[in-house]
Amino acid sequence: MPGDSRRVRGPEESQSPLLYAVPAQLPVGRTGRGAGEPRAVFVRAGLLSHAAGSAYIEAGGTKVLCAVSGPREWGGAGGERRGRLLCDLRWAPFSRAGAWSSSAASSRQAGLLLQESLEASLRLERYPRAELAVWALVLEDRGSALPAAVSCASLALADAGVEMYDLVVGAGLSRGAEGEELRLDPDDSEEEAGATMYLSLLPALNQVSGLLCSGEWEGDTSVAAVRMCMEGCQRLYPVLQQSLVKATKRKIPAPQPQSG
Amino acid sequence: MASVVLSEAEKVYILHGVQDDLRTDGRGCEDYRGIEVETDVVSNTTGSARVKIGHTDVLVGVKAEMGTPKLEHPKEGYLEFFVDCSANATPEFEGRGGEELGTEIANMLYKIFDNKSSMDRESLCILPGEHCWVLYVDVLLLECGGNLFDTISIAVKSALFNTRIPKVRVLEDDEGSKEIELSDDPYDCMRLNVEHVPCIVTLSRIGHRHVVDATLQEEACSLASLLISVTSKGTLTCMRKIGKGSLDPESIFEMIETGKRVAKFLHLSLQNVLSQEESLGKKRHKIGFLR
Repeated sequence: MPGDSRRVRGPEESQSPLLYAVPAQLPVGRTGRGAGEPRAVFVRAGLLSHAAGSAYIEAGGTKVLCAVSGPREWGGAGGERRGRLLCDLRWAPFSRAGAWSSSAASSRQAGLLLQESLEASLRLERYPRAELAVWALVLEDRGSALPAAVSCASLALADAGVEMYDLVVGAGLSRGAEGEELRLDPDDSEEEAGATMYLSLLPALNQVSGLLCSGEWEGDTSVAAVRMCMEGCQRLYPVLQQSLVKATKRKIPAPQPQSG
Repeated sequence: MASVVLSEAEKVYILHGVQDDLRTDGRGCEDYRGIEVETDVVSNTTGSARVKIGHTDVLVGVKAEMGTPKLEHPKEGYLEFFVDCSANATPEFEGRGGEELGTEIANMLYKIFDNKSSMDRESLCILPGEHCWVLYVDVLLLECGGNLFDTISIAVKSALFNTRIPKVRVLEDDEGSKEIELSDDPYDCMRLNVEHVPCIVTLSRIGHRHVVDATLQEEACSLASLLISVTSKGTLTCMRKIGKGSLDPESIFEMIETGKRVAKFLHLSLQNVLSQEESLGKKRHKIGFLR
């Protein structure tokens, strides 16, 4: 998102007063849902009229919109016979809590991660000299935006009728200070604590296409975390399938019995 | 990233070799190439190191400067990473070509240091909330011959080991104003504890097996690899899948196992080499880089 030069941003060295406030004692464990329980999701495919395919996902307060355009001609450079996938993942300037910020640098990295996660699921060799573009926009980020964006982008690609092996489903996970339990699908306050993991899975093929984790993981906690993420992906999979079927039925009306 | 083009026959040759645990240069699947480490190679830095693995050559310089602590962590100093992909390494890096790879590696370095166990950042604090040491870690790629991430992480660790920060004292007068005094003795230095600084191990999936320290040719045969950064205690601090392909969950668990095992030996031998080199003191014959 380009910065707005007319906007008065205050002095260069300004800080949020929250930094000086006494940190509130965070409750241990989460309230309202279990550790391995993802937030409720709303999924819809095929909602944008001008895109080849599109999808929208809402997981708790996180809202992601995604459009796919193409395949369109690209030409191909250096004897590359496979098609090319372009991914662009952006955060709306007002999407996060706190001060207004344009996050160009971090969104570039996230775009690369999105591309790596999706590329394994696509049959790009079927689109020689062509280009597929994926535009994902995070409207509101209340935690686990990247996993939601991956699921959303994959659904949009399927809605566009791109040949693929499987849908890609993303899942996020966080773990607070040492010894605390793993929490699937963290919201933004849980995400800040300690260690986080992001994983994307091709559920039918049981293949992991994207993995990124940071923070400290002792012993076998990382293995447990990977398993938990995979479970989360498997739970979301039927929801995505259902919305895809719905979108396709809308697009192609059921055949009417021919009279006479 | 620098890459080579291989024919199908060459790929099959490498693949079959890996399946039989015998790679084209005679190594097994879990063997590193010979690693050359030299510290204190650049005179104008607070710490520097050069590491060469096969045809991958990396030079790291650390400069310590005084700055203000970040507001979120008023009692800690911090590290800044910059990776410069010079066009000397490969013509693909010409102009802005290396920028993307550079930021990717720098982000990875931020990630592996973004926890409490990797380094004691509180020792970099001079005056809480006002002054701290900022370590600017500059990574230069001189030559690319596969396995960049591992080489860079080893070089960063060696350079931090070599870093000597001048000791400063905080003086406070009657009116409460504070002054920072630098020690007169240039050899009166503070050293960093690098024992828990993690190293990255890259495991490249080739066929049904995985190899460590892949050469450029082997990287061309691998569709997906897993980067894991492990401390000397065996704690995972970062893990990332790179590449176009996907990985079987079971193979990920195997790779984590292998990575931890390999990293343990890597840390041990690196620590040995570094202390050995230091024990030589002034007698040490300096070699310099790109030789």
